[in-house]
Amino acid sequence: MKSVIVITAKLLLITIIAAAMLGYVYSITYEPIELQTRNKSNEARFAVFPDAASFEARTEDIPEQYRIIQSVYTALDADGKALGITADVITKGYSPDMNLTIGLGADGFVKGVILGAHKETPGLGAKAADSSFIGLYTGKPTDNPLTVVKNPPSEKYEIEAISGATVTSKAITQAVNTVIDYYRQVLGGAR
Amino acid sequence: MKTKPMAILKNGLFNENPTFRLVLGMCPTLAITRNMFNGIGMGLAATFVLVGSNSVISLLRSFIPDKVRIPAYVVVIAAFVTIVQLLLKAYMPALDDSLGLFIPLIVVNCIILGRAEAFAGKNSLGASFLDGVGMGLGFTGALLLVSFFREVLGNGSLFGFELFGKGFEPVRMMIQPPGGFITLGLLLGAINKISMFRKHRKGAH
Amino acid sequence: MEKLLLILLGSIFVNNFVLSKFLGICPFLGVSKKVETAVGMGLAVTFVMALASVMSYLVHYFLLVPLKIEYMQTIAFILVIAALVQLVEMALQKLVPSLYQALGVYLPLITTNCAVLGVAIININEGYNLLETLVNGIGGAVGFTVAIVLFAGIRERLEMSAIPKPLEGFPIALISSGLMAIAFMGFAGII
Repeated sequence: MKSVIVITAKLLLITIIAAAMLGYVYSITYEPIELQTRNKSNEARFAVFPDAASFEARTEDIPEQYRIIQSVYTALDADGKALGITADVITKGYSPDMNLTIGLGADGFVKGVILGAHKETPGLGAKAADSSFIGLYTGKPTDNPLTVVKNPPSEKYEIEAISGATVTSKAITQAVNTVIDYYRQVLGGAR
Repeated sequence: MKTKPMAILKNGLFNENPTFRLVLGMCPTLAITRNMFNGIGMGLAATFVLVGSNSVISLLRSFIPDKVRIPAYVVVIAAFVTIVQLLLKAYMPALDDSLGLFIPLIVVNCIILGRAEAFAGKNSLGASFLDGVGMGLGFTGALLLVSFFREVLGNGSLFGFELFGKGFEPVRMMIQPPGGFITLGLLLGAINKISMFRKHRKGAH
Repeated sequence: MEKLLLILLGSIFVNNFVLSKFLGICPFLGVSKKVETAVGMGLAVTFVMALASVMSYLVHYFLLVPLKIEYMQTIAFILVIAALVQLVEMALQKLVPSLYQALGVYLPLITTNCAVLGVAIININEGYNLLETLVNGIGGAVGFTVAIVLFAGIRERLEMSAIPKPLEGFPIALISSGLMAIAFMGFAGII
């Protein structure tokens, strides 16, 4: 019986020391980790909305039909005037968990779209992250839904799909349309 | 055990290379070797854990009761893995994202528990430290070798630098799961062939 | 309900734990020489993975989160898994000694099976609730079993074929797994 107590005590001691060490390392790395997480989200917002000076989180509840939208920020210029919004979206492309940041201007045009973390197929859907595709959204008008075509677009509401990755291209376009719809119908923007 | 330090190091690198000879640590070897950045990142992270856990376990080898030695080893290893997790999240988020799930999975990397059991539990601090370094470098070398082929053939790049022009159509499959299996299989086969050849030559003399 | 079905089918076929996620490779290569042992291993792993998923979910949400020590996740989970495997070992020894003998040293090795720790972490990362966690745990294990039983069948055939000496053993096993992985890639896009 004594040996069981001794064994358990020794194991417990090792675990406690390990936990204490970890607590120490955690306290050191806590700040840098917080910083990294904040930087990542801010980075994307400034990238899609370069002329903004700062962003303010919006607090409205998002209706069920726009559930792919995770959070919305108002983009403000240096004087605090609202320039538009950015939305963080998680949707399903070819694979689930496709993260997008979408910026829409109050002027009625798409400010930019960025593809963040995703699980799309390397070499196919993953090519959506290249500026040659994702940049196609910048400057698109938001008064009508955008559509995906397989040939070079003939009119301003069309986006040319990545060859071999139509599902991904359509999913991104659909997400952008959803955010546009939310912005215009629910938030009353871009009037 | 009076083995020379160099011998211990070389053992981990060649004779008992954890990946190609002991065939341990297969999961990360197959999963993360899509590119060489991952290869070296994972290799160094695993080496850090291996050296740390080997050293601590060797130091405590008379303290740890034999009956619970596996759980004790696991706690020590998990502690070092968590340290690596926190450090990467804080200072190298790009590597953290890229290696993802496989960073915490270092704790079940059979190489680390294997060496704790086979070596660190029975040898001096100095020897265990060196064994950790040797095995860790052997593992890193193997990762780099596999990821070299997968990245060059599957993505046309080396550490992210584009090697060939726009016209090059890489073998996309190489950076996907089948590519991992096949590359490792062929490399293992090639290394077997080389060692068979060398044995044959030694025997012929 | 639909989400549960998608999770189940997803973890068995589309994101097969072995052939797509690279979890559980060591036992996959080690235990798959005979179909019977493979089935036994698969069943043991299914049991452990289901239980481990649920237990780690509870530990995470009722211990780590309230105490704000989420960074202890790796240690906590692996200890839970180690304890579970010990229990399963003792139970098998008493209740089904034949299976206990057959699995031999591979039973304690389930602790280091990356699929078990992997699924526990994935469940938390994906934000599954308790039921979804259980389904994913079972699905992942079934996928593992499907992969290892199929593979055992292939290896039994390989034993009788003439294989170049350098490729005997692990090399040909890996190459065959690669071909299986290609086949399973065909499932992508179903869900």
